[in-house]
Amino acid sequence: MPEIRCPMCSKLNPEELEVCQFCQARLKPLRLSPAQGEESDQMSEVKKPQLPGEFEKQAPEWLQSLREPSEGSLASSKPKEAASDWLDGFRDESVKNMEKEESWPVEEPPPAEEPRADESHPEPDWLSRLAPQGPKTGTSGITDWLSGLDQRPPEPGLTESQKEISEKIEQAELASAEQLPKDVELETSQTLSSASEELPSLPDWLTDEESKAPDWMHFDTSPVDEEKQVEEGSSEESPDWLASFMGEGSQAEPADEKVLGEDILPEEASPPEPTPTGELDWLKELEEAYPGSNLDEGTSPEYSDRTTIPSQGIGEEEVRSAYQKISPERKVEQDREEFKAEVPAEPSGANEEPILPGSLPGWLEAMRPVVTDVVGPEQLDDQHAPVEKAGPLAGLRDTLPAELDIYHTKKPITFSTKLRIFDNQQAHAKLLEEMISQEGSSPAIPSKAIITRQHLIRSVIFLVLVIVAALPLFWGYPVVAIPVYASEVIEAHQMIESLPAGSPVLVAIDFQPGYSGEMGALAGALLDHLMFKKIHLGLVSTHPDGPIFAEKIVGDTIQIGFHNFQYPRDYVNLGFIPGGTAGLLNFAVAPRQVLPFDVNGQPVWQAPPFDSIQTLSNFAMLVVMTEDAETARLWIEQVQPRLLDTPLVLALSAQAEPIVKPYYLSSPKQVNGLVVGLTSGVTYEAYQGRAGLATEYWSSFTLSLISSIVIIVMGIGQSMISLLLSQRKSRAKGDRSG
Amino acid sequence: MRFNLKGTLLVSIAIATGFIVLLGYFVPALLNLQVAFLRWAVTLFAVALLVGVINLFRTHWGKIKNPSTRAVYSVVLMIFMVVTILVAGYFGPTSKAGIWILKYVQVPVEGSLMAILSVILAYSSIRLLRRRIDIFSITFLGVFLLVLGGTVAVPGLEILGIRDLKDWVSQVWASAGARGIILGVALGTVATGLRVLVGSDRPYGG
Repeated sequence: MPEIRCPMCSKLNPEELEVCQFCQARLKPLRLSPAQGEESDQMSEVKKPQLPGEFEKQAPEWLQSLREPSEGSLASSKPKEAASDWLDGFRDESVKNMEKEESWPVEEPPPAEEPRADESHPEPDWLSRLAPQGPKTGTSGITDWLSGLDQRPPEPGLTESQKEISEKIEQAELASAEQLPKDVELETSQTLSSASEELPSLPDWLTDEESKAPDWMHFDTSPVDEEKQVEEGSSEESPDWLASFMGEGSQAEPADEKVLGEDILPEEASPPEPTPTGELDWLKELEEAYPGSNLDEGTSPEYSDRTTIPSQGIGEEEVRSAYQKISPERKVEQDREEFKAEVPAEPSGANEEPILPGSLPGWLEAMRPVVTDVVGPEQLDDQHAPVEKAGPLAGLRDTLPAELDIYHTKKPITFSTKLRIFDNQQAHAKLLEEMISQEGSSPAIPSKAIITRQHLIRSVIFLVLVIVAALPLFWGYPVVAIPVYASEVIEAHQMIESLPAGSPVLVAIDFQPGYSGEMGALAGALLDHLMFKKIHLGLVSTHPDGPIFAEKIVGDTIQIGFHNFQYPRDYVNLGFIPGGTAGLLNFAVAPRQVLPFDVNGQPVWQAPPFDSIQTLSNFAMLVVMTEDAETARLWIEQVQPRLLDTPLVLALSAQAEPIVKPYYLSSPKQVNGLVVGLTSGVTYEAYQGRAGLATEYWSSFTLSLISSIVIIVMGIGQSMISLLLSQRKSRAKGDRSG
Repeated sequence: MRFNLKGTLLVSIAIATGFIVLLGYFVPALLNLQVAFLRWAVTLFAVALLVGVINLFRTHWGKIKNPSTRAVYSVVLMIFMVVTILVAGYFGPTSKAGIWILKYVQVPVEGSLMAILSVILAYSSIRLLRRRIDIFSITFLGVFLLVLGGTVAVPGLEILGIRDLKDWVSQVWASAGARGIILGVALGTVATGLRVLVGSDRPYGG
């Protein structure tokens, strides 16, 4: 059993099947009849999509009947449909119009001479009237309606029917422009012929002279020169396919081109016969039938020329010749434009319905090409294609570009560089600009008053203190009494008093020059006592400027006390002890090694009484004079353990007393004697009986102290009072506002 | 693991030296070594003092050379430093010239600063309650006035019991606070020393 391989799924199927049993694909391709093949070729030539097959089913009967005589197989394959309703409706409408006008005598259409449709689809009467009557009638479909026009009586003033006709003509033109298949074309032409046949009166455009109508509508009785027609056709840029209708002598007709309307004019092989010249008889008959229609005046001049309807004897030759003159596309457009210009305006006051937009029948709509994938008629039209401007094809349309696209570059779109700024943005920018401009400029500092309240208060305090301190110094008045002796003072005095004359005592002067007012007086009191006892002094210091300051203190004491102390006989200056704590400890352990020379570079440990000094415990006493509690603590912690039985006497500033006092109060005592501040100094001098700096400073010191207390108390009082007053005011304001 | 020779060496020297000095307090045999280390430390302190003076000189000299900075005070400092060095070097630090500089320059300057301090303290005491009124400020002012008043020992001007009160505040409250501070300092010193001895604290860089 022979089998066929499916083109889709490549599976074998029996030969008799037309559809694959697996994938339902068609096994045997559809093959068209020759006529259908030509038609499809025409369709492909003009780049039109294949019309859907369904359109054939929707085509009205008259269209189908037009097709049947020339395409027997095609007609048989097409489904037969009933007579088109629109055609019947058109007939009825025209009949109604005729009844309305009353001047439109109802006329029965002449019977059709040649039955074309099948018995199941009777041909309309008007269509039958369109049947060609001459021996040369081939395209009976086109000529019938034209010949049938002269049989109708003319009736005036039927613009509505005229509109219908124009609509149908437009439909026919549309069909021709879209290159309907031949049977549709035939049907359309038959429709037009029947429509024109039913006109009660011929409009002016039908009766005008040839000059106003397009050429294809002119059916000259005079013999037509084919060559002339060919020239006319070529001059009018008729395509080659149309030239084929012009006969064998046509030069512009390629043999393989198919011509539109070929089915309508099946006798394409035969050369076209010359058209009859002279006036068309049918037109004359129309004029006779409708004398009031002003056919000669040409109310629609151009179209009357165009629609020079031939007599009944005009057959397909006339039509062919008419087609030969112009290309169908251009003719359609031309006709359309001319018709639009020629259609007369509605007479004012006429009781006529407005022209409604024509609705295309379904079958015609189905023939409308799809726009998505196919180029529309307007795009295929050469008139819209760009004209080539370069190369050998310059002047032609719709050609491949001769130049690269680079030559067709356009100037790029220039965008405005101007920044669009809105009002609020502008305001913000302005603010920012002001802020930046103010950034460099420093704000003006408000000028301060030269003398402020602070200056006044401080000045007052200064003046008070200066006056109070200066009075006892310069005037010796008032004199403040010396306070009661303190026990520490007495004890220290007794320790120094117990020293034998000429015994070596190490004196450490470790206070700053800034404290010389207090410590100088205190140190002077002690040194004076030591000098009075003829003690051999050894001066040291842990401060770098200590040796020099020690030298100054001793010199002042000598000067004030009128002591006969000489260097190095009575005192030596051992210098500065470096190293802080470590140095002090080192000095305590080995003083000879730490300070082998004095400040002048002279050896001191060889001469008496220091020649017997090996350690600090060999000294008779260690006197440390300092204002700093830390220094005192260092001496106590580092040196005092090495002193053994050597007493340690400290001369301190009042500020260091709290820290050093525990050492004095401890048991065993680490500090044997403690002289603190100017008070102890004046007490010491008083106990000694020798007035010194301490006694001299005591009155000033006391008075300054008292005045400071008074000032502070007064200031605190004033502050408290002002504070209370301000609070009272704020409360009063709060009460008033509340 | 990378071996830091420099750090290890420094740590070793520091720890060994510290332990020797510490043990020198307890072991008499290490006393001489302790003294030697202490002498080296004293020498280093002296050299460090000299280096500080040189650095001070260079800093102020750099300020003088820089035109963008105002170096008037640097100029004054440099002048007096040079003059003092020259005078003390030539005449001797305890010469009359040296003492003259000390007596008429250094002492007045430092004394004036102390005098200004007294005025400032008095003014600050007056404004203390204006700035802040609380128990601490009131207590401070009260104690301040008490000490000042107790210090004043003017016959006839003494307020009964104020001196005793002042002594009680000074010897009890102040001494107690001072002792606490001293103890804290001592403990801190011991802890710092131990940290250096065990190598956990390396102020010398290592």
